Amino acid sequence: MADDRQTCIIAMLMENQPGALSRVVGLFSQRGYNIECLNVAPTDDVTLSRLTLKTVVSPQIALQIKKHINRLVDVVSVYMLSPDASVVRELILLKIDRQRISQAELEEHLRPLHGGQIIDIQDEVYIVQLSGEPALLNQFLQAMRRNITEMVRSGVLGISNDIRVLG
Amino acid sequence: MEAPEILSGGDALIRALDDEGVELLFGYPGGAALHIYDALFRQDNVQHILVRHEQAAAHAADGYSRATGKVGTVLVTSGPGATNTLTGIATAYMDSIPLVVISAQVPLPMIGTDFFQETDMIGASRPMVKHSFMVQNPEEIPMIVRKSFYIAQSGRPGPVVIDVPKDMTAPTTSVEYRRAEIGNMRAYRPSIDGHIGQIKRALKLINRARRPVIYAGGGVVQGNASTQLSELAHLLNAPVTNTLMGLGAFPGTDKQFIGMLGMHGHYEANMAMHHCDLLLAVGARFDDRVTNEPSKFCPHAKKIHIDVDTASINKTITVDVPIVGRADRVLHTLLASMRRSPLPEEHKQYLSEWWDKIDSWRQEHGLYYGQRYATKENSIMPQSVIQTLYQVTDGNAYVTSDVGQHQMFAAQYYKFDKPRRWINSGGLGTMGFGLPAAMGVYLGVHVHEPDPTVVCLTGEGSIQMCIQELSTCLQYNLPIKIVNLNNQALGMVRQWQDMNYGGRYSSSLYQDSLPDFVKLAESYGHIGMHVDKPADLQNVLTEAISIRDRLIFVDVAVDPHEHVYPMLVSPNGAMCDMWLSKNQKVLPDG
Repeated sequence: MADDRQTCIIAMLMENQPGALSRVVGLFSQRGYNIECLNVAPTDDVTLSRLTLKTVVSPQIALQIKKHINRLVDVVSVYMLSPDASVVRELILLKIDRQRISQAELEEHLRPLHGGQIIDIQDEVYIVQLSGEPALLNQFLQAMRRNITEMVRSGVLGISNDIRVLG
Repeated sequence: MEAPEILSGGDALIRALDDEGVELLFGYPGGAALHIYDALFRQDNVQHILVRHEQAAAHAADGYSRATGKVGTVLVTSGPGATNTLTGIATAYMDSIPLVVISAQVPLPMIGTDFFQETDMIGASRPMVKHSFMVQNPEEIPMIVRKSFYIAQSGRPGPVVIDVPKDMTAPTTSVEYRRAEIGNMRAYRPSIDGHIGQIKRALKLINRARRPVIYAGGGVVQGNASTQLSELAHLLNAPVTNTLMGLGAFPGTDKQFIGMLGMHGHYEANMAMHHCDLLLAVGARFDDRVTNEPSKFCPHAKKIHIDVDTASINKTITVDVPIVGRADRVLHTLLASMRRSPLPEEHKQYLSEWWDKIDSWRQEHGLYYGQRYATKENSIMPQSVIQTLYQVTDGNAYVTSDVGQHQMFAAQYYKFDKPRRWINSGGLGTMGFGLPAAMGVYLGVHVHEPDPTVVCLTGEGSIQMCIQELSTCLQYNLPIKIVNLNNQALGMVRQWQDMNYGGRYSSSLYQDSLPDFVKLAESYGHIGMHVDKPADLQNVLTEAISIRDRLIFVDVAVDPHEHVYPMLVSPNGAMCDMWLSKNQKVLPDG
């Protein structure tokens, strides 16, 4: 069978209640789907949390996941972010070894990344903040991979670029 | 607005149940639940039924719900009390039965400290509940109870757990009690009416059909849509097959009923499914026991699927016209449209040809159209027990069942004419369900229908999984008729071992270790009967049913070698690929 799996980004609003997140996460493990990354935080309305989740599944499964999520009693609304009608960003914090790269060279690499900057310089390390489109960030990480000693990624955040509002 | 009463958390909890119309609470007390039990003692409206094992409390509440259509309610203590209900909760979840399970919990400040009888009930039950709540403040109790009952029975019904830390119900707590208003639940809005455009599209397909089949499941029973279903079937003159969960949704004695479908479905039902050109699925979920190999399922049919749960649509089988809504409401709208626009001229002719075909299948191998199993002079055949039971109860009993061969024989041979008469664990297949479910059925039904006949059809394997409830039956004087199809083996397991494992009976035999069921029943204070000769069967069952005020345990020694047929050939079979007996298989394409 051909592998028709593709990256799928799901955005949802849910009640900011204890247990709500575990029900979403539990749904994935119960039904045998994987979560690539996930982030969640309260919205400007503190009774609601917004969650963005990335998974790699076939389109048919993606639809099924969406229906299962919708069925959760705590989930207010859910939509799939389509790649050509949404903006997806990620935040990364890096620790880079000062002995391996000069500040000037590092800044040179950071220049094409509009959201990349050195935010702290200590005796042994630079702390670098990157934000932007995941694919672009991955290119930078690939180029820097020998110099990075520690990294933390937020996972994707996404929003559609059309008139629809999750709510 | 009336001034609120000031109640303790425990009193508020019981009062909230009373306000939901709860008559019966099935449960078992323990440390963390004692405040609640004390509140129960101090009132008369909600009656508590003390079971002998918490699993049975959940099954009894489940049986109560299936027979009455009301929400079943359970009360247990923390830790083992709570975990013992899990099998019952999962059973209800798989069959979409509305339950509210109240589990006591250790006091809030102690949670997470590995306190005595602590277990994470919310976490443990999460994969098998529709929703769950933990009470974090006694003031929340009225609203949580209100929402739990609403969630349990609306949309696709299911079990809801309320975990109640002990300190939330203490006599020192005070709650300003008034019945909560649900108001607007922004995150929970079940679909009720089907989309009218979709209903019109469905109507077009229906009008064009030459070989329609109505495939009706538990959603018709749960959605109280039997009347609408019958009207639709009769208007269309279409054959109706019911799933295991749907038996009784369409009358078993109606001439348009073609039997149960699926793994052990009737020949004519499975053949009609395979050859139909229009499938109208109502409240059924294309379970794997029905479809057999999905890629070979109903190859010639356009498919319409009416279901209250969006997630059940296109899950395993892709359909042409999905309609999300309650079965009664969608069928009501569909019927209204059909009455306005008569069926096309050709319909009558098409259906007459289709019925000719179905009747020929019935004559070939239909279970109601000839003797389809071999009888033996000295051995009672399990099928004949069901047929005799059907006869002596006038087809009018509430029949609960356990899981295995006896369940399939019952589904094949007892023709249920009404919904909520056939009570079995279809989705989860829980052995041990039958007896406690029968308790719930009797307790729920006898209030409004004096002296109902409630039969628990079981096997010697299943009955031993909740046998302790014989004691509960004595305490509350529940005159259930237990009919034990005793073949001295785990019959369905052995059947599979016969068919797929070269007759290697790995752990499916008891090797003379079975109890004397007559004495066992007697020791619990009931009447036991044993029958092993075909000639005595009718008399014994007649006598058992005629004794109205006692629990009767009828141990029937049945032929130990019988298999359930038809049986779908699996894996990789279509619905028309069936074994009809140990050595007769339907040839490809009938």
